[in-house]
Amino acid sequence: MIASIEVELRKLRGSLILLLVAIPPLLPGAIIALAIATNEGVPSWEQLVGRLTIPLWAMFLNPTLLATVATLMGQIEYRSGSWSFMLVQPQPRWQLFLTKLGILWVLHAMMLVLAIAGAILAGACIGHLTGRVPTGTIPWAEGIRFVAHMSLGSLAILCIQLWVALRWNNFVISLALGIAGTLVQLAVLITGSDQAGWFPWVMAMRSALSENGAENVRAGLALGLVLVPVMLFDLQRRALK
Amino acid sequence: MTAAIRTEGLSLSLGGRAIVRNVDMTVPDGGVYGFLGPNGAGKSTIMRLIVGLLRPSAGTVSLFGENLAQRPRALLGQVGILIESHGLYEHLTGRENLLLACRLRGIDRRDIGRVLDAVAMHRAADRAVKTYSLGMKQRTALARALLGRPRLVVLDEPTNGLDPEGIMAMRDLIRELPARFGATVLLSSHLLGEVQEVADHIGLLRQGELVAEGPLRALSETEPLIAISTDRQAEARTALLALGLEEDRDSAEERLVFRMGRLTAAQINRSLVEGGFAVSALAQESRGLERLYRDKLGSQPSFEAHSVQENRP
Repeated sequence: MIASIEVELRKLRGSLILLLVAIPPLLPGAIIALAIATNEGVPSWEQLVGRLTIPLWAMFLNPTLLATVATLMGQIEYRSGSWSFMLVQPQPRWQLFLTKLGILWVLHAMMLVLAIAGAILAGACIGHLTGRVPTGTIPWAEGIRFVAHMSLGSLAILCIQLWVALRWNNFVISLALGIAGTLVQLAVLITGSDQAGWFPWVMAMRSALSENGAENVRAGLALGLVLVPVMLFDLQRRALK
Repeated sequence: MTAAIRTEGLSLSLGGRAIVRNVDMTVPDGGVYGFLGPNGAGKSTIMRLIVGLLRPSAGTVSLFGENLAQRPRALLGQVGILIESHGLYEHLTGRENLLLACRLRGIDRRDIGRVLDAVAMHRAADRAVKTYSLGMKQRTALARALLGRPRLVVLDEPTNGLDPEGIMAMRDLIRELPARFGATVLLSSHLLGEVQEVADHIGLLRQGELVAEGPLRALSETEPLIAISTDRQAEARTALLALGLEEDRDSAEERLVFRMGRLTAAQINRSLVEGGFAVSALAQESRGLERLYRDKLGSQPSFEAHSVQENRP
């Protein structure tokens, strides 16, 4: 398993995936910096983190970035035509897919941390530079809760996205799924519907935004844990190429 | 002789359509086995079955005398493959690609230098694969297949898309593999010339069926033919048929071609002369792999690649 992890990590070196993990999560921080620099008023930390960073991530960045990163992970194998090579290695096939899922999960958690840390860092730095330091205390607890909830509550969509990205050579399928999931999730949010609680994308969003976030975390995590073995079973019997 | 690969009744059906039909194939240990057939004959599919990338609908695959289905991981650890495409990660360097393979197969990374030397890729090994020409990619992929001194190397159309120089270099390398690396090579190609040049055993494949198999020399030399020109061709044909000879499909009015059967050229000549024919030309011909290909596969063989698609960075 360690060899598989090492190999999958090496594959990320110099790939677009690392750029995607490192740059877009800084978007909330960039918006915060811009907001502080251009507005006269002094925002609060609660506004910057609780009402900007977390909703922006949960509603839009989370599903779209997950879809894109998962798609790129699939395309690493498909574009190079390396499935034949990977699938005849001495490691069991399920191990390869499980490793990819684990790495995607870790990358997702890293993006969440970067998003929160970037937002706080941007607020603090630009605040000091402009003399408009955000009021209140830095919401570390809320940030940690957000990272934990999003990370666990997103397991189901993470699994679905990776499954589709590895299953089909055509990257459009995986991206289209991500876009469709995001649109449904946004429609549920905009209409204020309490329906569609079973929809994995909605579970992930509500795990960060809803008052009963913990329930959605449990649901997303449980569904994810059910999907993981099904995904492994399906992928290991496929003739991927 | 021990078989490096033996398949028995190997079959694969997809969506009710038979892709591979009851293939009994034996690849002797050592040497190069050329798998020959037109595009779409099922060569790649059989190779994928042999290395466990596909599961057969029926039949078995044995590697080195052991059933692949029973010990897949242990047996595949002794197989190097280059199937369908080079399969290298283009954003990594050649050396990094080999390192990945070493890590996955538990091979000492010092082996990388040996295989890079073998394919003459030492100098470019630290460049990203995306800067390589197609020939360099194929050579690096072959180096990866040779890591850990595999007992069997499976190469699917390894010269596809290479320029003439690349094709020659690759053929030289393949020819050397049994003696230099102690590996049995299973090579597929739709090019008759390629197989003739490197293989010592061949298998002919048509529509998923193995229609002929054996040592190249034996298959090339079976059923000799005799080509005859006389002063009265129509009557000569009747006389030869009366001798019990079978007329070949290449026979024409101006040049009769018959399968010699058990008779020698001298016996046939004598019969004709004694029958009052003036024999102006009589030549014994080997059946040849080309003839065998045409007879068994019912089409003209390709000798060389028609288009050269060398990608230069």
